[in-house]
Amino acid sequence: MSLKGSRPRLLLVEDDRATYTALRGILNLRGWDVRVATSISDARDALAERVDAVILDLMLPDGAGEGLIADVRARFPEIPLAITTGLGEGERIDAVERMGVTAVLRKPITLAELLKVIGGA
Amino acid sequence: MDWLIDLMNWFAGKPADGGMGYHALKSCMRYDTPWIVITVGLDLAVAAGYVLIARHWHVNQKALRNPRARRALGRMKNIFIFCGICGYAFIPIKMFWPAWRLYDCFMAVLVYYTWRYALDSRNLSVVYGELNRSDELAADLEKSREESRRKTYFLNAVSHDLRTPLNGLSLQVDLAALTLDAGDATAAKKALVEARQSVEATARLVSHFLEIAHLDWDQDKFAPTTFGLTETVRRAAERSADDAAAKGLTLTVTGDDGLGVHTDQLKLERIVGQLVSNGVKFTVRGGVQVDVRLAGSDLTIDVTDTGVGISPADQARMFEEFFQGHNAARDHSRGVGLGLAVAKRLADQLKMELRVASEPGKGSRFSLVIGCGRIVESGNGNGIDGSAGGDVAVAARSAVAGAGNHGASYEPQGESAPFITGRG
Repeated sequence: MSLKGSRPRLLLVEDDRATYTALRGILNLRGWDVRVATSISDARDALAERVDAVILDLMLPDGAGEGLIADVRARFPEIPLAITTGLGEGERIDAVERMGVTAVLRKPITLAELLKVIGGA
Repeated sequence: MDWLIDLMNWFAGKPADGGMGYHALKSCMRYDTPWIVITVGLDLAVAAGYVLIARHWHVNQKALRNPRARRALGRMKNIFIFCGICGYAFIPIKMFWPAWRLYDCFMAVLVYYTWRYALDSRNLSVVYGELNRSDELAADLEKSREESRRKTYFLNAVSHDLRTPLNGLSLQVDLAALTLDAGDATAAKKALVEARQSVEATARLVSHFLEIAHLDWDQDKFAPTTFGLTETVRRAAERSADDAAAKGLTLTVTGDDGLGVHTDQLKLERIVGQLVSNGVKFTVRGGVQVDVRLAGSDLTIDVTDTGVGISPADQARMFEEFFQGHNAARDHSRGVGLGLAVAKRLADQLKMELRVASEPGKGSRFSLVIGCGRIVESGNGNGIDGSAGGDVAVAARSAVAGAGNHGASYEPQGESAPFITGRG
């Protein structure tokens, strides 16, 4: 997953400050090197570098997160890709689940399920 | 068969004494009075029947709202007017037409059917009424579909926006626990502060939802009173004085103390409060100015800020629920995008217009236009607190006082000195 000796890199695409500060703190403690992107354009820039896992919120200020799923999969077909969303059940979630994501986690997410999806580091 | 020949001759206008020639109506006028009365009566009856039908079409055409049905009825009306005119036109024709008695037999049948139709056609108004009703029902259906779509969107947004701070709260608590386990009390405390902010954001969100729901339930409740407008605006603005002071912004209100309006005071105060609070929230440098002024024949409250401004695209969506043009990062400590939606709904309820003019980077001006019909007083009378005499000093919690002017004449700018100023 990552180069031996270096911390695995995780891209967190999330626009809610309380959420990304908490996740960054937790995942740092768990040994991840977390890069936060608060918009789709930031996330695209971040994807230029190697990442080992992605956590992606579906509703972002500059558009829907779905557009980014294909970008992530094109560049890193095998890495864990967790979608977090505040949306309930619906066609949109069904479509996302068919896009090759590892899991769709509904907010409020639990730490255990998130760690299970992205894998322990 | 002589009787048949006699009868046909009679119809054809041949004289009964077997004389030569046929008699047109004008020849019989002296000796065949009953028939003349009958024939003219039949013509008039037919014409009157047509006029009655035409009138009926005309009346229903005016009441119909469906444009296609209106057009069709209009054409029918014209046809009947034409027929009515023809009925009268036949009177002079009969004067010279020997077979006028034969024609009268046909006229008798026509009178019967014309009047039967004229009387029956009154009942058609039920059909037209149903046509109107079906149009109304279609419009209502479309309206309720739109309302349903809006509510679904609202519920989705509520769900999403409630889950978001709850998610932050839950994760911050996890972080606090993990950092405490790791012995980092400072990081734990920081996480708990964030958690508290998430709780506050959730509580604010719930309050806003309740406020929106309350507006929906209460939309018919309207409690108009007569009150001094500038005083009310000043009181509403005063609530944001502390926030303005904390950010080092000026908050100024200008207006004529003697100006009275007749509307729902609490709702108006809430609108102005929301606009001022919004201005303070999105202004970093400068301040917010509230002006109560007469613009043409309308009384207007302008809330002008020197904030981030709103792009033309965002202006179109400014008053939608959950729209946050200024808060792209969706930082919930800056609200959830319901304040202006509430202000707009209240303005709609008060039948006032809420406008926005803005230039990105320079600031925004929200104008609440109060119809001139609501202005009830421009002086110190009628129980309105005009604070008569001299300059008025009204101190905001955070500070300086100024002066307001009074009297019957209103000076929109210039002479009205600011009387609330907050500086941090």
